[in-house]
Amino acid sequence: MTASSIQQAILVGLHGMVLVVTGVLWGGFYVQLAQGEFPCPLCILERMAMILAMVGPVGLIRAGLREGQIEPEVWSRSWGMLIVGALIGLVISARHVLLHIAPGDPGYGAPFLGLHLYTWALLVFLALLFVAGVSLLFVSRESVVFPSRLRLFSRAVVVLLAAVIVANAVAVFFEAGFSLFLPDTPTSYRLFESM
Amino acid sequence: MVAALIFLWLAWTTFSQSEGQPVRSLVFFGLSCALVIGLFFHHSSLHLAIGL
Repeated sequence: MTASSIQQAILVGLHGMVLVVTGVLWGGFYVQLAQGEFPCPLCILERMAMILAMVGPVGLIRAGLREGQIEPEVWSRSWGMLIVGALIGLVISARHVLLHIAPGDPGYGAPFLGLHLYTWALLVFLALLFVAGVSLLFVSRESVVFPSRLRLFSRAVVVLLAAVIVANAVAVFFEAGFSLFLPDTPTSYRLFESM
Repeated sequence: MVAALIFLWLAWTTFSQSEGQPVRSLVFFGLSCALVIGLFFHHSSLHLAIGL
């Protein structure tokens, strides 16, 4: 198996990774809307960091769609951007976990599969860092051909991520209203209260 | 409102990357990181911890 074919396999996996992170972001929305929970400022920051971590991979996908191949420097830069975004998210979610680590603290929001959403966020950021590290092991000097069979899937992944970013912008505007910043523990959609 | 604007900025950063202009992409990405870190500092009052 050559480095190039491994990179092609990683490219397929990268689509899955972006899809998983997009799914996590939509899942946060489900909790917010279906279970009536209001995301706190740190939850919003974790969502932002997930998007930040996806800037590089989306750039990689879009470069592949545009050029049909990916240059080594694009490959390295994209994974580097993911590492920076994931590190920021890791710090934010670690702080969030530590805020609620004292015995007897019920945590913020309802747990999902036994863990609170910010703990899941911490695990997501750790997993992203691991994936980026592994992917950077296989940088080659040659361009990687972007698999043409992925084109439709690539576009769908990019559109889903774009939709969740815009949805977050709208939702957080509803939550903060015309205030500059969110309250520490939001309990309502301020925009509707101010009307 | 600040958070909503940052989300819009992130959308712009994510989807405006042009391969012909890597420096521009990195500057936009750096600004995005700075905005998220700045908001994190604000909400965590970390600026007080470092005496700002």
